Amino acid sequence: MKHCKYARKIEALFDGEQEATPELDRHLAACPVCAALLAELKRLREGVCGILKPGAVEDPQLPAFMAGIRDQLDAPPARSRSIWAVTSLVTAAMVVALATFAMIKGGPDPVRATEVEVSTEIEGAEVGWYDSDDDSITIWINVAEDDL
Amino acid sequence: MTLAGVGILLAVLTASPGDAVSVSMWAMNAGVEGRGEKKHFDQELTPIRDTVASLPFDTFTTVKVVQVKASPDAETRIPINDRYTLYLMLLEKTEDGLLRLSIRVEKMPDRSSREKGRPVNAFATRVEVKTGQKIKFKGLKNEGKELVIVLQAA
Repeated sequence: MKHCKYARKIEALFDGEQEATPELDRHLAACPVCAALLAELKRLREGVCGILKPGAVEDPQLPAFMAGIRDQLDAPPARSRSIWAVTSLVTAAMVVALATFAMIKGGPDPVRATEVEVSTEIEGAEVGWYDSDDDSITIWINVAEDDL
Repeated sequence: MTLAGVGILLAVLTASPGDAVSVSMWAMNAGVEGRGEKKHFDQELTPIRDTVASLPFDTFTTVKVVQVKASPDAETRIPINDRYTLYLMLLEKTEDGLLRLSIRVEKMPDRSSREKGRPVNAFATRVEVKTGQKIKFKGLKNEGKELVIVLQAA
């Protein structure tokens, strides 16, 4: 692209930073490079404004436009529902798989502690229990002598 | 529904009538008669001699030896003497040979008792044992000695 020393001034004029002067007007009228630059700048501005400007809905288009909005509002959120449905199914399948695996696998017998509950109705007596060395369980009571 | 009722209901639900187990009971008086290391055991107590030998007594005399069935249907009543009665019930029998038993020893009141003339549970226990494992009860006084009871479920 050809360049003219007035190019900066033309750009400033286009941006509103430079006041129009008779000298610039004369140059623009005489210089095809600067005239082309200004024309290009105007074309770019219009293009940008066209992108940013919301599209107007003409009366004949209004029914179709509103129908489109209604369709979007009424349509089920199919995608998000399907995501949750798939997630639920996968989770349920994993639970079933893990439970089945645990049941089939078996493994070593769990270590179980001896379970003993002991109580007494003798007033003032103490009761307890312990595992003896011979693998027996001893349950004891300590009673005040006069209660017996 | 009382706690005992709930227990019986649970027992009936978790074990079928065919699940009754055989339980042996040895009840003995244990005392000290100055025998030292040479302890005395009545002949009938031979099967549980090693189980009670560690107790701090040197004389063990038989009060009652009996074999009964413990079932989930009802408590099995085993009178030991005129003062003590043992009640036994099977709560659960697992496939891996564990037994959950309800065992209580009821003591009749005596003249000096504060218990207003009604029998009381000297022991009330729920215990989980392996088949063949022994349970011994100690500490109850009987005829001036100590009453020791050993149970073994087969």
